[in-house]
Amino acid sequence: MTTLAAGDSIRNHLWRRFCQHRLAIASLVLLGILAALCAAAPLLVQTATIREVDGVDEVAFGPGLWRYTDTGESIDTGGRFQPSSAHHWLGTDDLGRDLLIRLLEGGRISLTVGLVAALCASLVGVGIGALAGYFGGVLDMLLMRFTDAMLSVPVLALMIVISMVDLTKLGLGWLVRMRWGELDVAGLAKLMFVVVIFQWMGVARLVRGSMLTLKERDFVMAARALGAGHARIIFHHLVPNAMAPIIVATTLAAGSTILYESVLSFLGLGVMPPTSSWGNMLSSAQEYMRKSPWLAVYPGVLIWLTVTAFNFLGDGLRDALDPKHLAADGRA
Amino acid sequence: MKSYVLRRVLQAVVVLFLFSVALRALLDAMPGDPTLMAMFNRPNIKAEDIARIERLYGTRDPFPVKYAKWMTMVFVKGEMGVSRSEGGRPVSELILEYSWNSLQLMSLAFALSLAIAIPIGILAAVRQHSVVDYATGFFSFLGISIPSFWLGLMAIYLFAVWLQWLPPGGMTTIGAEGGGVSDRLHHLLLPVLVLSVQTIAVWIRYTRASMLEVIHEDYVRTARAKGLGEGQVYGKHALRNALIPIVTLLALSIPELFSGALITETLFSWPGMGRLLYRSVINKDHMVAMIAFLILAALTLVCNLLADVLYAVVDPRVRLS
Repeated sequence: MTTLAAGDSIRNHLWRRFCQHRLAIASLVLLGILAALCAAAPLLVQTATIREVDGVDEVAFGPGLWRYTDTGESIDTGGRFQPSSAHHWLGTDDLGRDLLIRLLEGGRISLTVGLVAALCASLVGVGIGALAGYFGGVLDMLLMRFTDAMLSVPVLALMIVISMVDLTKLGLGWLVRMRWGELDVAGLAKLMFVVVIFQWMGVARLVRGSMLTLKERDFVMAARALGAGHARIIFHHLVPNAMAPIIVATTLAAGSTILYESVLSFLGLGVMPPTSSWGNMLSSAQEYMRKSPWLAVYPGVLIWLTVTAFNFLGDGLRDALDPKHLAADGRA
Repeated sequence: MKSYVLRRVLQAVVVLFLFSVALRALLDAMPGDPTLMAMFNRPNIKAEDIARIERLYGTRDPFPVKYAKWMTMVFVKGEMGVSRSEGGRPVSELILEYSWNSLQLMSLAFALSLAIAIPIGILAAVRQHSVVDYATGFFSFLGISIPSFWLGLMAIYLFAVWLQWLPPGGMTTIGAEGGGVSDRLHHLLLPVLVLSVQTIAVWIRYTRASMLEVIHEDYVRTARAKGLGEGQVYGKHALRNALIPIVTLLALSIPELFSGALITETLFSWPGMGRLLYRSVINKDHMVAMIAFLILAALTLVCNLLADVLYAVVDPRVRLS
């Protein structure tokens, strides 16, 4: 336990406390490397330009670490299920695609979906928790009963039901056709929406609890005396004071949103091929378990590592930001 | 206390009603047409049969009528309807059989997990900051984070496909139906182990946390000051108080025993409630899905109430209001 020295900023102090949790630091580094690699994947892949010279296609490669195949195509049906080699570091999959490149491309989707969904869930949770805790009364009662109800439904099964809902039947056909280049934006948005519906409750309860105690404090009355409206008091004075547990909860939620994304994609209800995610890579690898079990090993290990890292990170953040929790644990 | 329970029951009834309306609407919004699906493999189907199917499932009715019909069927006639995909069997029969299957699988996994997790959790708390504590902490984090569907997949590949020690799924060996307890256990082993990994990790953390909470209490120091041995101090004075939150958590886990595990049961073809739920949704078997979802939600609500009441019973300091 470090103590707050004179002239030390609170930020430095928290950072040093966070650094004491070695696994959290290791997790932060791991997640940073993974995210950087996934984000840089398109830069690391050699881009091919094909020119016709004397009636024969000639392929020239740009700079980069990996290439799909010698013809520059990502799919190579002649080179399916190859073992790892100097050319394909982790081998190739059932369509002859380089597994390492696919893992990184899948990671882009899995990490993005997981993080965005966790952030959105926290925003919804902050909104509902703040409304309930600040205004109290009937609104509080209704919102909290709703939160309790959402906590007592079978989550995964309902996620499957909602993922299967036919948007055209609801008159939202235009949404289904939304695309961004190759990317199926509508599908990803739907997936995140499905995950968010069942992830906001924890934060809502936390924020409501903080609101109940914070709103009685003098600085709130001072703000009100100065003429601040409800929205200003909630978002300028109350929510920033409840930030620590929200950050911890969001980090931990990122772990479970990544898990839910992978389960839904595994069941064929989340990210749809040809867009790859760790979950749908496992789904297709399942068919080739006998022939090429490695196809199923790598994406699973990556999901496992990522979720573990988010959980350690959340634990470290809680240790640093919430001294009360440390005291309860006898670690202070 | 009585008025508290009554109020909670009323709230639960309202929640269940709203849930059933929402669920019915969601199921209706799934793609496909149940009547067309019923006609698919029956080229010789007659017009009056189609009309009969439509009447039976009420597929052509507007939503409020459809919902009202379903309510009348369940609460006035006391019927649960028939399944469409599970061989036309009555839903009540399916629920009974499948929840019994889930109970076998889940209770075994749960008992095994608790038997392993509680002693480890206690040890980690008693030897806080020791290597044992840090190691169990590390491994329980790994256990909590593992994607269960991937673990199941790996277990099937390793033990059923590669080593061929255990069957990859199902309840009994084909051709040896009713092969007795040993055959059933043989099929149970793999899914039980897969389910236990996560449960063990979670319960180690619960036990450790609730043990740590009491270890620093004054009465534990008093017990030690009286000259009691460490076994007495931890076993009698600390543990019994640490068990209070554990009892509540146990009550909250009851629904899981019946609801089964959707992913694990589906992977291992274990005919339990989790798999029934998944199949009913995928096959758009609305009658089955409605009842299965509602029973599980009701069970959860009842057990939540039970946990709160139990907490007040076990710990007299807690007052319900």
